[in-house]
Amino acid sequence: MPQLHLLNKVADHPRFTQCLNQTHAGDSIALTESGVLALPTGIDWPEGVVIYALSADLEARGLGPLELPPFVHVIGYEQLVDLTLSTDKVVCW
Amino acid sequence: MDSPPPQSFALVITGAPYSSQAPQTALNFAEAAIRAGHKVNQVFLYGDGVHLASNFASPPSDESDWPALWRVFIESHQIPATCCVASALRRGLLDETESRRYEKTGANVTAPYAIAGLGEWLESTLNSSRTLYFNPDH
Repeated sequence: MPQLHLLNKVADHPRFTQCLNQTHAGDSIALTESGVLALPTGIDWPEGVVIYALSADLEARGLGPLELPPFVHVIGYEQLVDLTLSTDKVVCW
Repeated sequence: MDSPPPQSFALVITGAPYSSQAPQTALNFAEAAIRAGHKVNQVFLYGDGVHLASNFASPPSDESDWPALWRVFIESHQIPATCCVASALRRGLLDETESRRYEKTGANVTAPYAIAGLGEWLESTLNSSRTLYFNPDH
């Protein structure tokens, strides 16, 4: 059953690691708030997982397109709303 | 991505204004949901999130007034909004009734917020398509 993970923690927060450990192929991760700071760090994202990042939080933290890995989908709040409804379950970390 | 048919959300805010981004993120999400034709069934403030209900918050005029912005949003869309009683009392968030009960001199929780227990909240989550938690990012 595909899940959406809403992840707002920085990469060294215990819940960030817990989220990655409980994410499976077919799931999605939507990075919000300080969660977007993990994007330029080159961490290993789980295979088969789609990564989204909230544009307002990227902008607030000075992260432009050049700082982002190419696989990231930048979304607005409207798309985030759609995402929460398009998966069977949403996990808020 | 096709827009899904109208759905309903129950939103839980557990992060306080000014020490977390949770109230801001939740408000942006709720506004986007309503713009898309969905409904917000219930807002529930839990843990440090109860500080959002304080009528006494008085931020500087050049900063966002999250308690006031949320109050306007809740009232304009007539969304039931609940403060968890256990979280509220121990953080000094009191309505008139609780203020009298504990013999305090002020009440900082007024309409549109109600102080209530988890039962009412549970019922609203059962009637919503999704329940989302807006937690502090620290």
